Amino acid sequence: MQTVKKLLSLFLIALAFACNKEVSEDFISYSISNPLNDTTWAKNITGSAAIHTLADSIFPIYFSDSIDAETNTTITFSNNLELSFPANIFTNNSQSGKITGKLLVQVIRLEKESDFIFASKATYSNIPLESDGALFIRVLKNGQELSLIPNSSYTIRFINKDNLADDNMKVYTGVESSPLISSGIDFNFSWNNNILIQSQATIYNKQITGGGYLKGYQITAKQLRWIAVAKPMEAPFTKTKLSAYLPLNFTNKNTLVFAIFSDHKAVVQLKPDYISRTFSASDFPNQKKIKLVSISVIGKNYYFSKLNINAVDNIPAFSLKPEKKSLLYIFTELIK
Amino acid sequence: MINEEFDYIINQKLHQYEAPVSAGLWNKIHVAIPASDNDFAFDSFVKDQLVNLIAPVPADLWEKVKPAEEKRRRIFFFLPRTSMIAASLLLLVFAGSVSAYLYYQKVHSGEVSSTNGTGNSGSSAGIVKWQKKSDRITANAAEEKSVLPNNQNSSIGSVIKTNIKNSTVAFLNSSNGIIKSSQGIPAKLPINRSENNFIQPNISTEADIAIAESYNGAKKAGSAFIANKRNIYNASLEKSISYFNESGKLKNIIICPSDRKSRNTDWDLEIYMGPDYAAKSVISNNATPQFLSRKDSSETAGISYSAGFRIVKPINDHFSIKTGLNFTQINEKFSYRSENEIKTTTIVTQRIIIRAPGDTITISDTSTLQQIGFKNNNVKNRYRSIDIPILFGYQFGDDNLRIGINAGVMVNLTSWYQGMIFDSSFTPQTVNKSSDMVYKKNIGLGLYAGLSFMKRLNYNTHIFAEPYFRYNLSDMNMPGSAYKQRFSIGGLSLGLRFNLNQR
Repeated sequence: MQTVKKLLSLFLIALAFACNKEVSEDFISYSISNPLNDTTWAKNITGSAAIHTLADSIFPIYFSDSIDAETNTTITFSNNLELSFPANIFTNNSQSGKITGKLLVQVIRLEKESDFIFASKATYSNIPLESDGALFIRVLKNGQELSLIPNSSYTIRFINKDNLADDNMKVYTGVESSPLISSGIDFNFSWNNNILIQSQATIYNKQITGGGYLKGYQITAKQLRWIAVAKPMEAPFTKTKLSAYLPLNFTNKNTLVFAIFSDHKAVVQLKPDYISRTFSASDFPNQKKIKLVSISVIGKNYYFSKLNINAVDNIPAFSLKPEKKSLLYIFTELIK
Repeated sequence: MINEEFDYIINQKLHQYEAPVSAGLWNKIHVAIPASDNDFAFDSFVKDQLVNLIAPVPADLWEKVKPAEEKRRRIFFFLPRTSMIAASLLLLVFAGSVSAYLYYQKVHSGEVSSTNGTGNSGSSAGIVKWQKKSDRITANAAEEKSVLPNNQNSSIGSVIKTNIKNSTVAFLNSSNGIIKSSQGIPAKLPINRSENNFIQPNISTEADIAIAESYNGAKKAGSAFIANKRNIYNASLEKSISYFNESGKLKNIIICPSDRKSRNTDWDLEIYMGPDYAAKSVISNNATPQFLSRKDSSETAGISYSAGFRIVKPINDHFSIKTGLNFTQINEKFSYRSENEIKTTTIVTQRIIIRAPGDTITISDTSTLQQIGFKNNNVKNRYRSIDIPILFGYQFGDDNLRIGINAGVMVNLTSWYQGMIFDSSFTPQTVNKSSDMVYKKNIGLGLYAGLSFMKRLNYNTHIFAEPYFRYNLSDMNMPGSAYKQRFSIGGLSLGLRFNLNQR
């Protein structure tokens, strides 16, 4: 009977083990042609890189209106923005002769820090800039972009969201690649306030209904496209090199990293550092409270990370851990 | 070694055993009979010892050979089998003895007188004294012929106790003239022939004279002498004795209860387990060839197994019926490829950051790496069933090795399935016991045929191997399925067979 019991025990044990479900799986990765598997960094980012797709997908929308080329016209947009175009100031570089007829005016306004991020236009010119706003203005005739006749100008008036104006603000114009890049990111873009030295930003008071005034900026602009009101971040402050690193899936081909100052109207983009596979910004103000954000696109998926830093304080580098998020979530998070 | 095992060995060894006696055995036996004695004293001596001889058998002898349970199962004749056999033997012996007695009464004349001796093992005091009316023999140590029961204190008179268990063989000790006998005399052996009626015929033939001369020669040579066929009586007596014990060739017959027939009433238990291989047949109802091809390429048969137990009821020596429970698990590997799978790996990276000329730092970071690819998934599909085998068996062979054929039906009690299958869009779908809408819960009947090889391990246990084939008669799919699927199973059952009666 002992033998029988042993055999029955073995039988029951065998049955018990037989109940286990066994699943095995072998993972074979696709080639690096799949964006998620491409962990390489590019020394020179091509026009087909995902980062351009990312920039286009988050790029701000245009406000559009029309003017008559031969008539003095003032266009009023929402959020206290006015554009005054004198008659006969536009020209088409490829054609001689007077521009007539209706012209399409397109405007992008960057008010908040998040707007600069969406437009991939950080407020930085060797050092961080504090900006009260920036505009992108272009005039089209039959789909062709026009430029100003030399020595002509138009007037921009706007009031910021705080209804305040800073007397120290200067006019900065955007320096772009040539020829112009119609989409994606212009890696050569920079803000410069030396070229249009004659552009002036003055404070103007806008009378409002019921009495009283709002202080705003009035710019006599001698150039279309990017123009901003900004000033260098107030010194003195010590400088450091701010770096951020991300998991290997996030490279300079698919990721943008920005530092948003909490106490300044400034946004700094951390540029890719190919050697260290990090994103970094030199001459970054120390002891500043900032927020590091990263936006990435891999394939059709967007990734976002945010890191609040109370004080940079010579900390060499920060780790960002992006997570897959919707584009709406990213917008919402950045607008906060 | 336990008593049952010893009994079994003795049973096997002595069953229909014939023990040859070397040709010169009797020539070596020297019976020291004085020259003045009758030449035929030895024959008379043997005769006297067997007169009224009763060889009692120990009361528990047959109890050890034959289980008590078996006696209880002899309900047809109202008596236990051993008793029936013993009674038959006794009746046979008794009838034979009576016949021999009546026959000898007619052919013998003369007187034979004998005195009872006291049997005492290892002592001259136990020597049986005997004396013929004409030639008396004094029971002196050197000259007496004695019969000494083996290892037993013989009762007064001519009683030989035979110990079958110890099973010593009768022989004549030439040194002291002692006959030791514990030969396998099957039962009490009364010899009812009256010695008073014994008539010694006259010895007057030339043959007798030659025998006497031979005896004297043997005596001088110091060897045993056995007279052959001195007369009709001695010839008959010799024949009678040799029937039980000795002649030119001793033939011992141990009549044991029939082992095979007793087994017929036994119950046996078979426990087995073994590997199977299931061959699958799939026939399309309305499934596309692409689906069947994909299904065929994605499903690979694996090693399956069966286990169970069977109660065996022998009908006779060759035929038996079996039933029990059988568990079968058919294993199958289901392979499919899933696309766009994300694999996340935790890795440690090191980055060297140059903060400024001469200011280089190394950053170690533990992060995750995600990769996208496809997975080759292997899922074990399991088709399980519990069946009741109803088998009819035929077996042949000896007690050591038997070969049998088992055939019958397997009645399915329940079946259930676990694993994954493709749906019509080639998407893997999970099937389990609770959510199975594809396969039946009961697959009905199956035909079974097996060839068993069984070898005895010990008295109650056999080991067996049984290659078999099972063919299911019905499909396993639900009605309306796009295809019909059926398994046929070939396997090898390895197991043990136990006698439940514990003989």
